[in-house]
Amino acid sequence: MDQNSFEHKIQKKFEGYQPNPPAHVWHNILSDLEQQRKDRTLAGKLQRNRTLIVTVAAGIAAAGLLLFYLFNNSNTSHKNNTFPENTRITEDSSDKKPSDPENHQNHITTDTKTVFDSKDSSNRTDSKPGGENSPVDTVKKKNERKEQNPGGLPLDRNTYLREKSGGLLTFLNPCSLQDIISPAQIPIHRRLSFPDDNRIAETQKKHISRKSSNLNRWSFGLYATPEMLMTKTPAAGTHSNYSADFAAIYSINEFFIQSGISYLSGNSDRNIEIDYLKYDFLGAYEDVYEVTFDSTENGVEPTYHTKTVEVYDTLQKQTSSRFENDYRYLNLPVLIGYGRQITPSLSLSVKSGPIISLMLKDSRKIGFNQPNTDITSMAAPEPMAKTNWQILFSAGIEYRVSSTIHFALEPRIKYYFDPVYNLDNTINRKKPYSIGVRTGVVVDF
Amino acid sequence: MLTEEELLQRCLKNDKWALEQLYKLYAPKMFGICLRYAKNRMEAEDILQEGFIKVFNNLHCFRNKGSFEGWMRRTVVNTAINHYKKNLRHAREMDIEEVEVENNNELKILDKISTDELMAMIQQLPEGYKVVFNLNVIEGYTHKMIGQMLGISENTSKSQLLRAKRLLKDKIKNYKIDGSE
Repeated sequence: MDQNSFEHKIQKKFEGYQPNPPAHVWHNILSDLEQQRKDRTLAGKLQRNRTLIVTVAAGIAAAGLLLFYLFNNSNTSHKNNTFPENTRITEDSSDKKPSDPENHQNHITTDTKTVFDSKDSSNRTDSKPGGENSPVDTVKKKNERKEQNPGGLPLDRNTYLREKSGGLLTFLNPCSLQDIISPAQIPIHRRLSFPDDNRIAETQKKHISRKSSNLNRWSFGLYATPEMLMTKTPAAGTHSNYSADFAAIYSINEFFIQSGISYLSGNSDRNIEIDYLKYDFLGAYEDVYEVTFDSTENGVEPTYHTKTVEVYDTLQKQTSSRFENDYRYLNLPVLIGYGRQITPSLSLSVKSGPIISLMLKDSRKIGFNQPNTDITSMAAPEPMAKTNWQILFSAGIEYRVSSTIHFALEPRIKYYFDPVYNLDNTINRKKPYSIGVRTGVVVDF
Repeated sequence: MLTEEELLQRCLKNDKWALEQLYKLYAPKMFGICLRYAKNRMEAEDILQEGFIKVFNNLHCFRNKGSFEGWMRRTVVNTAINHYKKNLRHAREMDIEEVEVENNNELKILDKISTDELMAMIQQLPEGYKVVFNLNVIEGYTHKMIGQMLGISENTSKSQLLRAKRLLKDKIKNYKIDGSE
């Protein structure tokens, strides 16, 4: 290179050029490094091991499901085996016949005592022999009741409690009795030692069967969710997302596992600064790029091959223009939750779990459309990420309109493990979050 | 006084003092590079910040096989190129049909211009021209390498350099006019 050339002079100018950067740059670097270190410790670990975490979570959920199913089956089977037909479990009268009225009476006496002893245990400490709640009184009442029974037959516990409750308890079975009297208060062998075993055993079998089928059930839901995506990157702004979800829910007791498919449509719309070159057309000329010679009758004649060259004047300009980003994602969630019925028609639930988003479409449209221009720089964000992992936290309320249909309202927040854009620099790798409200209808099966 | 190698060893252990010393040692030089690639000082600061974070995050990749300053310089230049690519949407392919003619007047004026003033002129160049100009004229990359780095053809790189030089010379000429007035 010529020592006096333009390039050489420029190089010489910049030799030893060392301007001092402002102090805040170092502080920004430090805080960014610190943030990265924090990310590495918690979210970073989560992010790096997300496949493992999801696998473990799915494994735990599956194992829990299996264990619960096995336990529930064995429990049901155990309960059924406890009450074979024509078999009674009694404390003190296993040698007595079920049809013996005296035996019934003995049982009722024992049981009634237990009931009163249990329910009035707080009063019993103050009771005196011969007092209102004393065992002596109880026996007296029992005898009075026996006298009031016109057939002279002994009362069974259900009848007794129905009368005692003034007709409020129109139907009682051993399980509903357990609801009235805490199971802890009545030993199981006493709770189950009632006469008319066949009827009770049948009722209990039905009840257990019904209860079991209610605890483990499938539900399917259709939902709509509007949400706002907060990118935390000023250039990217805030996005509006809408999703339509189909969810399959398997409930086990008060816990449930939920999965399904969700179609998310989103867009962002904002103004961006665009630098561009404007080419002003000055004119055109024919440029000869080849000359060939042909022999003719008149001698050798040249042929000129030309191409039209347009001449432009270039101007650097800047403008603000509209930028739209439309995208579609397919979301696949696996959520685990807990729900509790508050009233017969209302229940509350919480759920959480990972979601993977797979991009279906990403279209970016710039409102800038001027002829004879070239964009030289544009403050538009990068294309959206092809896949994205999120973790969802949601709390919901459900209103039951019939025995099988209920409406759901679920405020939810999603934290993204990755930036929403394919940014390749570290400064703007902010992980966004979204806030939304999911509403839908759920049908139990 | 620590040697550069000792300083790097301490930086690898995430010693904040060492990181700051390394930054203080090289930040001015790197900032000079960033300014040439940026549109303005703010963008240069962003590039410098990104560049240093990349350097600190990838210190373990430096094998002491060459100059650390050279390695850092390449990282910062690559950061600047990424910055440019991020903003790049359209590039016009242009044929090279122009022959550069140097004018002694421009060279004389160039001697009188301060580095800061020249920097301001370079910053005003269109993005594509500026990057090619910096990579070729200052960093010394060939057009083939520049084409690979920027994802453009060799011819485009050449034509952008020509246009960059022409624009810069125009600015230098205008500087003379302004200065004489």
